[in-house]
Amino acid sequence: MKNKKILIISIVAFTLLASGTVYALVGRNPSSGGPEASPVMTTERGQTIDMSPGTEEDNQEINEKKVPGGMDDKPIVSDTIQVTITRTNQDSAKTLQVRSLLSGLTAGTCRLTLSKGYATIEKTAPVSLQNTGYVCDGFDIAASEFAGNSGNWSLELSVASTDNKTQSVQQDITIEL
Amino acid sequence: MRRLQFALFTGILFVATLISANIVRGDTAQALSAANWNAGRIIDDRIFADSQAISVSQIQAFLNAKVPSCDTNGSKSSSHWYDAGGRYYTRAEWGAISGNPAPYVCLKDYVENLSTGQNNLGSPGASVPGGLSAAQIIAGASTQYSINPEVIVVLLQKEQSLVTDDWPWVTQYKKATGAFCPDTAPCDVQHAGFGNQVYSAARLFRNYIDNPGQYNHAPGNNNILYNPNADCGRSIVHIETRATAALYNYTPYQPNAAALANLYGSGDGCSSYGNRNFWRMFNDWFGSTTGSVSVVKKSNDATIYFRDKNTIRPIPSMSVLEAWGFTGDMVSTLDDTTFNTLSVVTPNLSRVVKVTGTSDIFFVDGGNHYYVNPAVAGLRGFSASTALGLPATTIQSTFGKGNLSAAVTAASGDTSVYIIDGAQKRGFTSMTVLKAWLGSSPTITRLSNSYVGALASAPNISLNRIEHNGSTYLVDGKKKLPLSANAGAIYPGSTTAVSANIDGYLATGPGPKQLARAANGSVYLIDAGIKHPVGSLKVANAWKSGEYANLSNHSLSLIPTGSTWSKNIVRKNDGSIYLVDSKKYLIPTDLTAAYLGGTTAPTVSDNLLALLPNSAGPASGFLKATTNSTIYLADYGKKRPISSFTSYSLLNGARNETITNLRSDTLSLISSGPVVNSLPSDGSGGLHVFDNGSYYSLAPDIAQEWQAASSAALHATSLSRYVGLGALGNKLRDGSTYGVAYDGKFYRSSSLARTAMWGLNDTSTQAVSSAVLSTFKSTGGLTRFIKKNNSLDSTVYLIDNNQLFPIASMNLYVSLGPDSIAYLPESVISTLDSSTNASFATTTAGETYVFDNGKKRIIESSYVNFWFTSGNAPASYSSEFLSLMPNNSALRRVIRTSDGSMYVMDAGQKRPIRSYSSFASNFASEGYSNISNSLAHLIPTGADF
Repeated sequence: MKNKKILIISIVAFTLLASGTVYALVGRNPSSGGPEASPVMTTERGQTIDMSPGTEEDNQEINEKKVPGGMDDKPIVSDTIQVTITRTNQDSAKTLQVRSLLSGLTAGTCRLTLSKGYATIEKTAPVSLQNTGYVCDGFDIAASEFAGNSGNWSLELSVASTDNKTQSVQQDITIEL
Repeated sequence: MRRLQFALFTGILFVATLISANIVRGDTAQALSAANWNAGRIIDDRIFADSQAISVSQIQAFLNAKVPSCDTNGSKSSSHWYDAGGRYYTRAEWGAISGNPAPYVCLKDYVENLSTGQNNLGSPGASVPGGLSAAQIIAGASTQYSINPEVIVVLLQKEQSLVTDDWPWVTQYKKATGAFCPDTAPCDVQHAGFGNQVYSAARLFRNYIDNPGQYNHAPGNNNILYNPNADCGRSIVHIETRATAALYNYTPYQPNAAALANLYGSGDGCSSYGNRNFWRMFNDWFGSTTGSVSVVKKSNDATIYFRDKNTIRPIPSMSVLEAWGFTGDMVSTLDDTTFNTLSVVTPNLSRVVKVTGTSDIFFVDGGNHYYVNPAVAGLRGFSASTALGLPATTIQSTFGKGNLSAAVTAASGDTSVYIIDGAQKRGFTSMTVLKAWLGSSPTITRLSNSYVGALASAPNISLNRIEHNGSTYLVDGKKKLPLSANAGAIYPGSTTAVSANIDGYLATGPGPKQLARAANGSVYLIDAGIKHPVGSLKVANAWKSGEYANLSNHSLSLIPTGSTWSKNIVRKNDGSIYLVDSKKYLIPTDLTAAYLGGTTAPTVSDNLLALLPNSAGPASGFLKATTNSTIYLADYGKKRPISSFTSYSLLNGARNETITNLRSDTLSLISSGPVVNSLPSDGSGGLHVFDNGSYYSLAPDIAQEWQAASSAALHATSLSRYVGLGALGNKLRDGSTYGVAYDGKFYRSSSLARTAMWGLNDTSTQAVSSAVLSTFKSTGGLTRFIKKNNSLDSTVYLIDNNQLFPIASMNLYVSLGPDSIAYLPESVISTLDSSTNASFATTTAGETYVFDNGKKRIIESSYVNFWFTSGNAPASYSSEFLSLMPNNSALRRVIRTSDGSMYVMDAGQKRPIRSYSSFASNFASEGYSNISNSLAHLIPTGADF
């Protein structure tokens, strides 16, 4: 009697496993009646474009914003100015380009100070909007301003907002002339 | 309990089974993973700037697919619970509460007038004058700023989910792309609105790409934050492409590890998602943002390399760099460490490549690759042996644009179409010339301006005649048709020398000759650079020797059109005239009028005639269709059927002119005249009899006997070709046959006796051929008797020695006959002597005969004086006449009729002998001769003996 039960259980287990495997294999092949592949559009250049409908997940973030005031522009909430030097590099004319990203202000003045020993170069520029971020409006220092003084220079970028908040960052750069 | 255990076991097993199935199916697998993220190369420049990646209709189709059903009225439930109602708010209700009431316009349905800003957001079904769909606006901005429309579509989704949102709010449209919308400040209202936002974003991207040095991020090392909050940190990112820099200039943050760890969800408080989502969405919807190839250089080294995975290959020139879809701006400067991980391979990158291991050649230009078939490869001087072998995937990193055609044009500006001959370009001066060369629908490959512009210019091609290695050809539809010297002279225009490349590109077709045929079947005769439409198929066939040159309409249109051609008798420059029927027949001078009549033959070039083979002999005055036995005489521009072969023989005879056999179609081109025979008139009253190729003339009275007046006239120019033999009478002979023509009937005989009776002999007759004699309508024999054909006069005459002897009685006729009677016109009879009556007897050559019932009976000399006296002497008929009469027994003095009556001749009378005893007693010793009653009646009766 016990052996008979074991036999029945084994048969049931085998059947279930087998059916699962078959389902999986059949399901891999769309032509075998399984789930249909995502609709696509192939362009003249052979590019395959996904044409499946948008999903709830696609719209989840925007739907969460669909509350009273949820899509309003955000005011500045930071009390401090943050300055990030995004790049310092010399172009083909050896002009030094210093670029920065600012936060915590929408208007103000930037001051760039380059120093090496007794040599000092100072530049100022307004704060301006570059699409989604505020930046110091470009510091391009011609090679001639370095007066042939190549090597390591100390760079300081100071930002002052119109409401008198300030922030500065420093870094060393190497100038090749 | 055991049942419970069993059920539990079974349930666990079932769940395990489903799990196993899902593992095997791999449904949850994501195509994209954080490992694929490269902060320095989010998207390649070529992909980012591909403004023609998809069309307006494809954009619209994509937008439609993403939102199959727009909830315009907000009737679906929102996710916000409505306590008082015990249900969720509808979207319309919730939108109204939030200041964004229905209706809602999905992006696929959005329309905006870019000039006025008017849109359909408040009234989805309303017409917006001058409005453009969102797809059109996207495509327009893409084209204007050379940005991939897919980039803008993804931007719209990652900023405001506008692509998939089925109930978007107006606010989403206002800042659709996030252009000029700082993360830490309000959006700039001057750039609000969908169209404004799309164009602003595209313009920004273009500025960032074109002028990276002016902005915060550029290719090279950059300090990039993870979040607007700088305290979240940053990292140095070596930006490899301008497009990637543009994305950072647009959204200046990179995803942190947490954001990458959950690509389809949220990270942590320091995460940002803009560039991550852009990258993810583009990959999911439109495929990879990066190609397998790029262009790189090493710091402080000007050499630019083509990077293909981990290998780099020197690029020899900016031209080749641009051919592969790159610009100098796209060259990424790699740091030494990265550069040194790459393997340098040679030879240099080329425009002309092949898939390694094959001989399939591809030409690369403008970021596209073109298959080069062997013919075009030959034209361009490409060879599989020298083409650079590359993996197929490398070649496919450029866009496949189909086949490279022989004709190319520049992408913009220069609208000329060229055929590239080795390293030179030769422009076609017109589309007609182009199509003449390459067919009516030539494929024209649009290549980059720089490539086309850099090619050296060879003289333009203004015609479809070429020369190579001393051979001249007419070019038509990618074929070169060899022109012989003569054919070359009749086709127009100057010849352009071409290279072996062009010569080899063009397949060889059959050489054109004098006839060209258009696709619609129209046939032209080409001569002296003019094409003459051929008036009929008959004319075409006449000029056809060999096959037509089947030419395209374009090739034909390069040949000036002349007057319609309907002639096949033409004049050569030296004045000689030819008849054309697949070959040329020289028309002898004396036949010129016969063929042309009063017309003039058009002059053709010697070269045209030289294309036609010569006939075996010149054209003759006699023509015939090869399929018909009728022979025609060429007579003053007409072909005149000759009534019979006999007439033809008489007309030709000793001239021995051959008959010119023409195809019936060609023959039909010669107008037809009336039937002609060998008895023509000359059109001015003269009648003529042809015999053996010469002619006699007939006096009017003789003509009556010939009855030739009904014959058609032959033109004087034709008659002049023949020798005139003088006048012809009506007494003729042919060998031993003599005869005389009377009233259209020819009386003839080969009997000398009879001909003598009619006065015909070698002196009185003219010798003609038997054929001439056969032209008479009827013939008759030379009889002994003649009668007027006037029924009112029944006199019958005996003819002898060409003299008529009236026969006074039937008995005399019976005695002289029998023989048939010739009925002659009275006019003829009146010309003959008929003054002496016929006699039943004749004394000829010393012998006297009596004619009895058609036989002659000699009278013994001793009895002659009894039969005749001086008052009724016998006639003197000719010996020929006499010879015609069979002999019968001699006549004595006593004659006896069939009724037994007996008479004795005495002094020309017959005296009845009334009793046999009287006979017996007086003439028994002489005996008697039986005679016919007819003869008896002709002898006068005297007194009884």
